[in-house]
Amino acid sequence: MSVQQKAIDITSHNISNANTDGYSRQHAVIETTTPYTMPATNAAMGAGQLGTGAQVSAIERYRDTFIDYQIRTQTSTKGQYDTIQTQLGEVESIFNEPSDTGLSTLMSNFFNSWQELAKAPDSSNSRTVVAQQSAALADELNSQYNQLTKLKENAQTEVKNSIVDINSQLKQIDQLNQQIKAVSVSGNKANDLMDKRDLLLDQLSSSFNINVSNTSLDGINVSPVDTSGIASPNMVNSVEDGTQKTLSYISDIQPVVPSTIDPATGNPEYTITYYSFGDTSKAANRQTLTIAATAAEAKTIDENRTIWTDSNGIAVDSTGAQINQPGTVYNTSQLKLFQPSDGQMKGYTVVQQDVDNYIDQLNSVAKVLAFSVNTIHSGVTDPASDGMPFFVNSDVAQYDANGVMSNPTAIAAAEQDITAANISVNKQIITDPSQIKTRTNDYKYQTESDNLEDGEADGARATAIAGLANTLIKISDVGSAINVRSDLFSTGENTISADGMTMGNNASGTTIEGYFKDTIDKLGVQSQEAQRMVTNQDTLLSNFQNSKASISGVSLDEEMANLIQYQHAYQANAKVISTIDSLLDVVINGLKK
Amino acid sequence: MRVTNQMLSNNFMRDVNTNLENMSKLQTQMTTGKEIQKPSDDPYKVSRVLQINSDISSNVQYSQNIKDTTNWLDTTDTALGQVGDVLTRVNELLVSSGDAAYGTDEKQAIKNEINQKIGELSQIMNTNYDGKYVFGGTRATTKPVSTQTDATTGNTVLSFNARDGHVIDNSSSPTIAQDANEYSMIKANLSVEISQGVSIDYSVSADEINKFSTSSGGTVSLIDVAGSSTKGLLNRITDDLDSNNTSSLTGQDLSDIKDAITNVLKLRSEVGAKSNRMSDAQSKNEDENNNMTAMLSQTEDIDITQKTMEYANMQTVYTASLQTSSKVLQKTLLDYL
Repeated sequence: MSVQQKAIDITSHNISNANTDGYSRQHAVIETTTPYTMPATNAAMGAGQLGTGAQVSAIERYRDTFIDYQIRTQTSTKGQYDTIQTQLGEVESIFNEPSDTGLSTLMSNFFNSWQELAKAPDSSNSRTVVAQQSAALADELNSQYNQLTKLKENAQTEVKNSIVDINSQLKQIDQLNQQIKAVSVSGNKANDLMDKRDLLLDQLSSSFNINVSNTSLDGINVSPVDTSGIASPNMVNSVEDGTQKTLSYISDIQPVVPSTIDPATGNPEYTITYYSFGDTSKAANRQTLTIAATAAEAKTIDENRTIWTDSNGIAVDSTGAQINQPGTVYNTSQLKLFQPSDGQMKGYTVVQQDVDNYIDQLNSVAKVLAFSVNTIHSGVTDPASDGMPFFVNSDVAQYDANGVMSNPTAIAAAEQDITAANISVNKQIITDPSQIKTRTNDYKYQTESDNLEDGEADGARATAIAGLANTLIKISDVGSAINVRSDLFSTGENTISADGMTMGNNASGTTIEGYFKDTIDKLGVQSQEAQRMVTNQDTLLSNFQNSKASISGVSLDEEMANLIQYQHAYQANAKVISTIDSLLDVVINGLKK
Repeated sequence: MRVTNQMLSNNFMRDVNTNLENMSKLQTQMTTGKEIQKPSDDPYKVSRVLQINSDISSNVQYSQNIKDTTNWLDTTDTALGQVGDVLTRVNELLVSSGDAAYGTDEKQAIKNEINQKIGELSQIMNTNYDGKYVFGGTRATTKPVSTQTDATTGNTVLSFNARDGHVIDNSSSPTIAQDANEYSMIKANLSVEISQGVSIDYSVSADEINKFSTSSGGTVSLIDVAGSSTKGLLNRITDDLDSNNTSSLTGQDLSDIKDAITNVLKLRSEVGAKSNRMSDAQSKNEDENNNMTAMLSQTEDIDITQKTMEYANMQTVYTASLQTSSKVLQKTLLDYL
């Protein structure tokens, strides 16, 4: 009877956990008790062994560890593309294309306003329109740059939060691990605790791809698949020896001030600030170290932001030795970045790289726009002899109370540093649109008013600027072959006439608008791919989850059937007892009157 | 395969969600009328749309340029017609001055009328359109010509007008250096882009009316050239009338004025040809615009019928999934125990 009762208890446990996450249904392993062989010398006379009943030898859970493995692998992949999809979706809404308010519309408006100006250069209306349209274009570039930068910062915050989550999950897994081992030592199965541990592992696997290996007494070791060459990469150790690793968040990477070159590697030095376990709430967690890295390596660190640390939250090298000696300059092979090949952590890295690319492309658009418009506007290819640059670097440009440039030399020198973040229309032009140069011979003069050769209705130069909309420029070379205005006409392979009005095409280039369209195109393809991957992974994962539910899930119908089965058995047992009771009654009360 | 209750409800939730996602996408497409909302919907289409949009935008700008230029050319044509009328009247007057019966009084009357005509000519050459002097070249906000009264003869003298109102020294080496600049501004042509890479010079300058080549091969101008011993045609005529030089009036002067009329006619026919070209360009521009708008519509607009059908389909599937699931999910063995 107590066997049946136990079985009913288990059924009841199953039913109450029918909707619990990660729960695997359990069943009682019922076996017969050791049979009772009559200890008689004349055993041959007996009927044989007499059964002594049943007992519950174990309570086991239904679980297929292979499906667990598959689910975890797919969860990691899904985690990666989920992240990418969300973030790229945000990039799409930042670019806001196709729309009437996006950058491409503003670019068209910009060039059209120059056409209008070309027809009526004597009208202050059309001059003001050009100044304002250009300002709108520059503002939109600034704003998109800022939003993209903010998106990147958000991704970094997400990385930080993920690291906190991961460390807390690891801690919980570790605790459960020890509890399970304690239960196993006493010969029992810690089914519910193991379910909980598996659930945590499933959650962990969406952050990065993990390796789980079983050890004695139902313990497990957990390590990432990608170990960056760390000697003992376990993050959860079945045997607690203090070698388990944690992750920490790099909050900042800055060049050392004043900039220093590490004599050993010849690379510039950077100060890295990181928070142990990603926990920025405690000042004590703040750690710094100095490394020598190339610019590309620094960029990788900036986009990755996660490092291996030991159980105390101190950065370690591949042998597990702490790298925290103040005054020591470490190299990048000692600093171990956590670079999983899958999962949300990977997704955030990829997204930051993508966003960086989009920022670079916006910067290229801004640079080429500034270089080409300024060149034709002034007719000179050297910013230093340009008396009235059209686009300026707002970080440097200063104006006096009347809106006149007060540091023209610095402005000219800073033109090469124009990016989407700081491109702006010269305020002097906005305050006084008559400064816009539209005439044929303007290239000979510093300012518009110096030119006495051409009439006020001469809009040849404005037409030339409007023509930039169709000029092919090798924009992809910005940053490599094109760094200053004059590069467009040397390494950039465009040509320019002596009066700076006719700009020849570079046959292998694109128009400015075309380049931006390519960017949008690329974004569309990437985002579409991420969406497709998420859909695929969803389907795949749901199939695995169905398989898992098929094995481990609680079916109420089945439990009901079991319940009735056990109930009947219980009743039958009770019947046996009452029958024996009545038999005894016959013997005890019936025989002796 | 063993099926559990949670599997049923999970699958149901997932499928219903997919249905709703599809319906929401269809809904957005129906309400916006556009096939694509963001680049990832269809990267290829989005880049087409962006391209076509910017093409249309620049085409609209070109169309605006063409319209403005056409109006300008119309004004120029009218003005040139009036110049022709004035010169024709001068021509008639010259012919009548040859009449042997005309005495000094008549000559005086003819001269007076010619002086008036010179004033009229100056007025016409200062025709203003949209705040610009059509014959003023790039110096569009200052009158290209003005008239003075000769102190000795009392005749009206036509001359090029400088910004500050003095008479432009139109010799090859003027005393005031700026005069040469202003004179070349008046001579300069205005040009406009009417389609990608196609520019057209659309203005006629006062100097083109002024200078013309004669049938005998020389170049004569209506306005005096500073420092030159020969006077401009108009001044020559009034001087000849003063000195009663009939042979010159009915000879050289008459033949020159005829050449001047021919010159104006030539300019008019040029303007007419440009005007024609503009209307051709306009209709080409409109065609292109129509084509591109049609292309844009084909690329990004939805087919309402198709989408409605898809939506009806979707709705059926959605309803079916809700109905079936509400029945399947409700039943358990418990109902019968």
